[in-house]
Amino acid sequence: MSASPAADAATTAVPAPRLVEGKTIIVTGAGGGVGAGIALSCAAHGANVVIAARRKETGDEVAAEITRRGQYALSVRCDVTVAADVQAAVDAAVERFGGLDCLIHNAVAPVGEPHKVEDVPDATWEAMMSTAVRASYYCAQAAFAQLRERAGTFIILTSAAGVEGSPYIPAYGVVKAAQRGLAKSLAREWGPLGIRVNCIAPVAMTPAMAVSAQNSPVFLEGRLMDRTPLRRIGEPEPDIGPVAVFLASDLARYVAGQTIVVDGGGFTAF
Amino acid sequence: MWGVPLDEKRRLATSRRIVMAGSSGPGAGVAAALAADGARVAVLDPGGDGRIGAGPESGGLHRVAADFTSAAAVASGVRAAVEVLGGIDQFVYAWYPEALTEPSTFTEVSEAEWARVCEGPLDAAWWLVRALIGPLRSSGGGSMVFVVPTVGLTGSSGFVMLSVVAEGLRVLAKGCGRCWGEDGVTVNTLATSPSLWVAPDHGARLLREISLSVPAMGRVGDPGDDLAPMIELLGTSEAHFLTSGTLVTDGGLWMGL
Repeated sequence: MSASPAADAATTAVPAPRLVEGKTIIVTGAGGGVGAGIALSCAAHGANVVIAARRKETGDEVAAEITRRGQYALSVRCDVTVAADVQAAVDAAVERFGGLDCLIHNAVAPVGEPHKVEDVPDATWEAMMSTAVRASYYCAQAAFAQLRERAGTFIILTSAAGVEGSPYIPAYGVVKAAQRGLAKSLAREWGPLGIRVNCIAPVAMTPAMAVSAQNSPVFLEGRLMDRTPLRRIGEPEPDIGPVAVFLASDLARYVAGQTIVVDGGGFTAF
Repeated sequence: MWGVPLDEKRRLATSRRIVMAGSSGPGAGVAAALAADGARVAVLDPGGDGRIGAGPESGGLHRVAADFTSAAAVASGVRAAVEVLGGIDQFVYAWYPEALTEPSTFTEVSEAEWARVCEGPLDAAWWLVRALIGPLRSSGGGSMVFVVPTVGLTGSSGFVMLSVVAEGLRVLAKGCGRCWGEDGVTVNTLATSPSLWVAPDHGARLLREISLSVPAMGRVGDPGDDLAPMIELLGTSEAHFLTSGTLVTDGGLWMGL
């Protein structure tokens, strides 16, 4: 007889199923934050993960962690605002792992300081458009042929701000909404070809969120927490990653054109 | 106008509205109806030759050829329109490039076309609202209305770019509404039947994609008879507490909200 219920659980635990075993998944913006969490989670579920990061050294660190865990990863330098970089990431995935099952576009420019619409710097708007709207175009175009070949899936990281708008980061809300529009229509256009397209709208404690917390603790600890029934900010790997794994897996074979909000229950209106 | 108090009718008759619309299509129909109801209307026409200037007045409707390729050019067009009207009470966005309303296969859309046709209207709208908020504040408040097809809400094969623009505009309206409510500026969206915006044969397919049903009202709507009154309503004091909303004005077809 075991000494404690916890020990009982340990001895009888069933290993978690590896939901994306053998699939090849590219994650953009995977050098840190939500992208890194998704990459780690996908690798833990058996995927060959291509870490696409603008700063390769950050991608190398995530790939090294995956390798250290005995899983498979490839780090590639990828600025998602450069079409050739995105295509190169897809090519690298195919060359190294033999194909592509899923591309997860997570990268986006920093949202910057809170601004009203009229005060958003031009550079912020341009960076938002290029990393979200233009880069989504690049990712979808570059991945299409491979995804079609394997009946794969395209996942875009968006935000509740892309549904309800934001008074603090309005440009971010606009481009995240545009990405949702893209996902819904691509889901309809690519569904008959066997490709599923979906969105994830996360709230997670990322390095960028941590900076925001330092600059605006009242917002993070007050407003955001008050709105979150689960009373904590999500963590990239354990909270957001599994949802990406689910959407990339065959368990989600009949899910298309949807946005799954993963924010502890804060945003509930659809 | 139905059931509008007399003082509101007088205010509508003297209201100043800027409508972003082409020379034909739903936006033009809306602009003509607003002018016919007595408003002074300046139409910012992206299809013009790029010159900034007011065309001849016709029944309260002015046409201002405008360039939407840069923030500075947009601001110039807005200044010209505001000058023509002597101020502004309402802005209406009701324009989509022709290429957005033609079906296309996403994988066949070139990067240049994506930039021009899909990102261009989002840039233009972003620059427009930023140029308009000053004049609206100077008028003591007012309203903005974005008229979008419901494809941004529903998605649509063959109209991916239109969907991207429509959903981007809808959430731009929400963000603006949140930012400018305390200034007395309301910002709302009318989500309309996509069949108003695309060719009839494509429109019929889109409606089948959107809903298993037919419109509850038996028709998808007319810009002048059905949309313009809603836009006028959003410009009245009765609607002063409605902002960042999406009013689905498609005769009861899509009911996903």
